[in-house]
Amino acid sequence: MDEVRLKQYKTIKPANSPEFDVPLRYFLTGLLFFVLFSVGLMWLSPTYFKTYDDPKIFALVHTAVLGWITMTIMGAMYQLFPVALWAEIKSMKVARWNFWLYAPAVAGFAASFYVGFTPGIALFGLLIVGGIVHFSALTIQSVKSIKNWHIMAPYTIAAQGWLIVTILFGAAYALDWYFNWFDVSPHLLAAHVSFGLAGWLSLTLMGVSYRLMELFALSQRRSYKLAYINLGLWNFALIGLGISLIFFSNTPAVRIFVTLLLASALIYTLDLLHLFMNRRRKSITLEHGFIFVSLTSLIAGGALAAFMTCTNTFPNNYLVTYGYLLIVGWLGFAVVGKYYKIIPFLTWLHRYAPKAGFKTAPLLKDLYSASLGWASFTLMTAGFSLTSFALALHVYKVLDLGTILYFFGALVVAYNLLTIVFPIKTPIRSTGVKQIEQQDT
Amino acid sequence: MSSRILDIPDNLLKQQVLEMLANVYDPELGIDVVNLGLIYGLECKEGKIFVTMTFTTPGCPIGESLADIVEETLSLIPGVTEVIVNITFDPPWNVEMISDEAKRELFGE
Repeated sequence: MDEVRLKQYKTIKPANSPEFDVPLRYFLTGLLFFVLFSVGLMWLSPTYFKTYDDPKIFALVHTAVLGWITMTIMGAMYQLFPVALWAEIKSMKVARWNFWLYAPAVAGFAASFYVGFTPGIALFGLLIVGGIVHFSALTIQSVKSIKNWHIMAPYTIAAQGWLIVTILFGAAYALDWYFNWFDVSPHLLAAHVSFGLAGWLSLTLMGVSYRLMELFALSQRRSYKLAYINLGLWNFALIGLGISLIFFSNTPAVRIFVTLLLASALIYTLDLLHLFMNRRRKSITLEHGFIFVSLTSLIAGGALAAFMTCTNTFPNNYLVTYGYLLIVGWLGFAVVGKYYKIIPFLTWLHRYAPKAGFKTAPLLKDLYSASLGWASFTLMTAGFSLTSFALALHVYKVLDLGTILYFFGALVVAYNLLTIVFPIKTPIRSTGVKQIEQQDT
Repeated sequence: MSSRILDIPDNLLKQQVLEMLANVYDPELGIDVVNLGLIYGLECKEGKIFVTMTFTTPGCPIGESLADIVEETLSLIPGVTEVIVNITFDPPWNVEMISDEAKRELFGE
């Protein structure tokens, strides 16, 4: 006791721990949309070679960004706000209602786009706006109760702001497209897509990735300077890009702000890689594999965007490749990698934590098959790489092979993750340090 | 075992407490809380157990649960009337607090 200065803290009880069912229902529904999206990629592969401006492609894109990725992020927020930020979710009852408002609305919205049913798009679109405003109100209320402030907090708060802006611009685009009030719908669409991808989704994933890399790889950083520089530069560039897209779309301003976003993406990538290189746990985990593909796609997609803004004319498939790299590569791979951390953790907390000290409760890594995890990673990466090259080089046959491999990868991911929640056999704890001590003696 | 536990008198209850704590694993790292160096202090007085422990970092998603598990595990020891777990981040935990055996397991050192 002499060497350690002890301070009496009030015992921290997991009073704010997430309820199992709320994040889980978002994750499982997100997983379902993920598989549906991978089916859609195969099914619609001839269409997006011709044009991106097609209701079926809109259905596919919204299945990914609203169904799969946003649904997963919403679930993660209900889990991470209490456990990582020590913030209180005001009402889990309201959170449950939010799911039943949002999930069917996304399904209806994507289906309406697919069949070209305009009243359905309007109705379900309104419900989505309601669901997101509802979700944002709940999380913004929680921000006030954050007790453990760290880098994830400003990133997620900024992302919440962009989520609202994205929805507003999406609604403005839909109204202007339908009523033809100002005839600026292409500019509003470009701003809507940029705010959604770069604001809401990217900032959330950046903040969460910083935190999870520190926690799970035992990386202790000395300074958060680069992380804050990236946050400031990213938001500045995105505000500038939004204004430029709407008011100065044919000026060098767009090019300047896209280049600034690329510079910010490079800062983030280098910062995360620095954190990775300084980790104490040297093993390469499944999540690391997904992060590497994700970061590579971010830089490739950003470079392609910068290239497109520098040239006045570019083929349609470049724009599709850009969207694919960012949605499937940058965002999608990051989300799947995090599934392998957050779903085992949530399940362990609910199912095995109460028994952890008394029985040989499994570790997180014992809850799923690592070999199946790597198999899914290999299939997804191979499929994603083939599809990216096929889109960029306009090679139809390779595109088919790529989307098929990606689909099988998605199936393996879904199976592997479902066995965590619904185990086929009881997981057994793997070797721990006690066994090593026995071997030593 | 080079843990951070200091000033432990040689009595049965404390030995039992240590044995019980060696079963409480961090589910991500696969190392028990004693070898991980999370237990800063331990005292037993008239059936009451006072544990002072930390987390690998404030906001560790497992931390809160580990503290709860420690409390529940120790309360199972016959004769124990109360378990009080205090959380401290002073000094902050760092990887050098991990036992040598656990370092070999985690880092291959």
